[in-house]
Amino acid sequence: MIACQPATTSEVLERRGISRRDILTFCTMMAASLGLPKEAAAQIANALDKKPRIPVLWIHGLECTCCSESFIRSTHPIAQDILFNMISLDYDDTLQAAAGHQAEEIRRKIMKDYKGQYLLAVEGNAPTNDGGVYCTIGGETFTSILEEAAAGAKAIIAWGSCASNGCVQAAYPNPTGAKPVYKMITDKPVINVPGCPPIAEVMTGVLSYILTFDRLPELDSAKRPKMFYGQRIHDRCYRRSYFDAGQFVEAWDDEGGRKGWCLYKMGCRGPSTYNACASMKWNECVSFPIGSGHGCFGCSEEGFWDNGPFYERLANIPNPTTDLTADRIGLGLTTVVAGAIAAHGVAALAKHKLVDQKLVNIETSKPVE
Amino acid sequence: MSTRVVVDPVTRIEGHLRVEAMLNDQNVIGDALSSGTMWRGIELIVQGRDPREVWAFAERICGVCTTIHALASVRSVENALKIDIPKNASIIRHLMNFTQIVRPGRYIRACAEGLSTLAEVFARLLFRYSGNAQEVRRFRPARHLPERVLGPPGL
Ligand code: SF4
Ligand code: SF4
Repeated sequence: MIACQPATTSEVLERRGISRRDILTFCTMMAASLGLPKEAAAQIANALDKKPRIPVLWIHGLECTCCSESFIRSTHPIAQDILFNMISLDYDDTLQAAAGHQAEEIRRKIMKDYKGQYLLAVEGNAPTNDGGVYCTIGGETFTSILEEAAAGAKAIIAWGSCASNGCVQAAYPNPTGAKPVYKMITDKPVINVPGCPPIAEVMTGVLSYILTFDRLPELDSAKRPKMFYGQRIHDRCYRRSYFDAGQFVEAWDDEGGRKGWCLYKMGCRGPSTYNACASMKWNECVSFPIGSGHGCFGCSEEGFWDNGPFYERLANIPNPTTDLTADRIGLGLTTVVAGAIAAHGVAALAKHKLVDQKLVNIETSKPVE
Repeated sequence: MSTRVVVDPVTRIEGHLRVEAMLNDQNVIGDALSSGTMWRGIELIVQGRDPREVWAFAERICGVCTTIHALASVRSVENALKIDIPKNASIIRHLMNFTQIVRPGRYIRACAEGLSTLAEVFARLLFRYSGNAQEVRRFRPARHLPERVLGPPGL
C-alpha cells in the first residue's frame, strides 16, 4: 500500500482501465456539486493528472461506521473507484486487509514518513471519561491515537456527526464522556462534515475540493463547508408550499399525510437544520426522509438527540426567508414541550393502543384527537 | 511453552474487536477470547426517553446493519406497551428488512460472494414482485455477477 506512493490519480485510474471520458464526467459532476463554475472541472481534472495522491489516515473511534457505509456508495458509477484512488487510503481499520500489529505498524509508518502531509480523517469521536477506556485499538486508547495522529496531520476531516458534534454517544447522559474532534484538537485546521451519516456526494465533494485547491473550503461558524451546509432543509423542501399555506400533516395517516403536506407538526426539524438532503437527496438521488413522509431529525446539528423528542414540533420557526445562514439563526431551536416530555410519552402510549398508526382509546375505541 | 497470539484491531468489520488465542506446546489453540473494545452506553442513553424515538438511537449501534436494530427496537417497544400493528405495517417492515440484506452487499461480498449473489437475486425478485418497476431499472448488479445468475437487467 505505502510502496506505491506517489502516483497521480489519473495514472492509477488509467492503469485500472477507467477511461479518460469517465474521469472527465466525474470532474464535471464534482464541479457542479461543489457549486463551482464550469472551468473548475478542468482544474479538478488537472489536479487528478498532476498532483500526487494525498495520504489519508482514516481512524475510527466511538462510531457505527455509517459514514464509511455512506462514502462507499457515491452516485457516479466510477466515483468509488476514483475516490479510493484520489486519496491513498493507507490506513482504515474498516477496509484495510492488514490486521493486528501489522495494521498498527502501517499507521505509525505513515505518521512518520508523511509527517505534516497526511490528512487525518476521523470517523467517530473520543471517550474522555475513565482515562478513555471506552475505545481502545491495539491496546492504546482512541483518545491517545487521535492526539498522536493529529499532531502530524496537515488538516483533519471530521466525518459525520460523531466527529463533528458528538452525536448519539454524546447524548444525555453521555456515559463515556464523548467529545467531538474540534473540542479535542485545537491547533489544527478541522473541517466538520456532519450528518448521520453525511451524504456520500458531500463527502466526495469535500475530498475533491481539498485535493484540487489544496485548502479547506469556506466554512460556517460550525466549521461546516458552506457549499453543502449553507441552506436549511426547509429552504429547499418540496413540501414548503404546504408549510407556507398552513397545510400540515397532523397524524401519520390523515388526509394531509396522504397528500404529502408539510411535516412540521409531526416534529420535522427542517426549519433549523443546515444540510443538503432536500436538494442532493440520498441513495443515488432517489429520495430523502421527507420524501418518504417522515420529518427531518436535524442530524447535522449539534445536540440534535437532546433537542426535544423527535415527534414534537419545534416551538418557533426562524424567519421564513431562504437566505439565512446558520451563523445568523444560531443553533438549537427547542421543541414546544422540551424537557420532561419523555415520561409523558410513555404514559400516553401506555394508555392508548396504536392501531393503523392512529392513537385509539382502548376503552371507547374512539380515535384520540 | 505456550504462546499467546493477539490480533487487535481485527479489521474489515464494523466496530472494534480484539481476539486473543493461547497456543499450547503442540501449536494448537487451547483457549481463546474475543472482546469488543468499544462501548458507547446507548442502553443508558435511551433510558427515560420518549419510546417512539428509541429506534433511532438503537439503530446507531451499527451503521452496516442499522435497519434490523431499528426494527427490533420498535418491536420491543410495541411488546412492552402491548401494541398490535396492522398487517400493512408488518409487510412494510419485512420489505425494509429485505432491502437491508441488499444494502450492505458490498461488505458481504468481501466476505462471502455467495451470500451476496443470493441477496441480489432476491432483491431483483423483490423489486419485481413489489411492482416497483423503477427500482428494477435502478438496481445494478455487482460487476462480478454473471448475467446468467441475474437474468438481463430489468428482469
Ligand atoms: S417543516 Fe419540514 S416538511 Fe415542512 S416544509 Fe419545512 S422541511 Fe419541509
Ligand atoms: S433529512 Fe434531516 S435527519 Fe435526514 S439526513 Fe437530512 S439532515 Fe439528517
